[in-house]
Amino acid sequence: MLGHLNVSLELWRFRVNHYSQALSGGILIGLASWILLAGVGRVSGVSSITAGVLTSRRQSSAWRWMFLVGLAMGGAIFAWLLQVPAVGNRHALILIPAGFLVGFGTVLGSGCTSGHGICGLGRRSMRSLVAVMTFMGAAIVTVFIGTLVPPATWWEELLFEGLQWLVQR
Amino acid sequence: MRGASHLPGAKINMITSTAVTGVETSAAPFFSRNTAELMISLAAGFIFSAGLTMSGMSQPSKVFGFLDVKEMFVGEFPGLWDPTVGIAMFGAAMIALIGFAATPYASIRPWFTDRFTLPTRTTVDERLIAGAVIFGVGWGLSGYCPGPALATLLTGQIDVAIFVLAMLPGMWLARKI
Repeated sequence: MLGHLNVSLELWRFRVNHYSQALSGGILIGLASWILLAGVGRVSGVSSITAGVLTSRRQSSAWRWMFLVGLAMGGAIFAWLLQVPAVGNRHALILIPAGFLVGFGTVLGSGCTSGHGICGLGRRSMRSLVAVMTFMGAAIVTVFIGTLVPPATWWEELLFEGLQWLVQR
Repeated sequence: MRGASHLPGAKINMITSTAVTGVETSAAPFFSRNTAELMISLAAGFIFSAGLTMSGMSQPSKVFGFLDVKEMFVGEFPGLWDPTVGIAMFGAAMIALIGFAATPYASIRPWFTDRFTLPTRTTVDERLIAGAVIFGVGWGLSGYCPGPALATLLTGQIDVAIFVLAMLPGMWLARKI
């Protein structure tokens, strides 16, 4: 019985460590958003900034380039410092449509997790609250369906076998 | 002349001397407002990426662990569900809430620019809903949203490179229509 208690204590210690790290990371994100607001007077929505770099004139989006450079460089440096594990290779058949949907959807809905989820909620915007609840719900439903259907490699094999069958006829 | 630096004319002298050398044609000092704007943007991006990496939002496995809510019902409450991404978003939104509330952006100017440029639309329209649904589906498929994807772009993972290369045309197309 005491052993069981010890195990659950260890589990809670592990969880509290993880959760407090997540919370301090979140606080850093909020702080960065506030620094950009107070210093430059802009909302730190990554999708808006990236889309602005793609479509705006060069002179007006110098600060956007600097934000993105800081984001990419910092990401590499901190991933190396904190020894973040690399992700497993996923199928391009999923990554390419997913990337396109994320790019298209964030610009159409004028915001992503940072723009609506952090700055928008911080500004107490009704639009952002609706957007956050909508994309969270859509993502949860997508993940739920994704756990039920077979992985991309299975579909690829199916496609490959189908093509082989067609060629052999 | 060391003692002259506190005189009212000292600053004007410094500016004219840079103009004479021809390096700076404008009357701006070396560390201008514009440079400060760019530096603070760089710093904000850097701190943003630190937060993303620390909180685990840059790892798709953590995002899937958060979005897979049916794991909540395995065993005792948190079960196999991983709330770290939600905790990070909550913390970030709380700090942003305090920061935005503490910044009187109707009456002051930002530190390094002339005005605040904030979103002005307030109506919930079908573009917003459609965009959020499309983004949610893409997020659920890949586990990446634009911020973490760009923050892990230089870590040399082929997944992220493919994702970002597919994301940019999507953004461009949505801006065009």
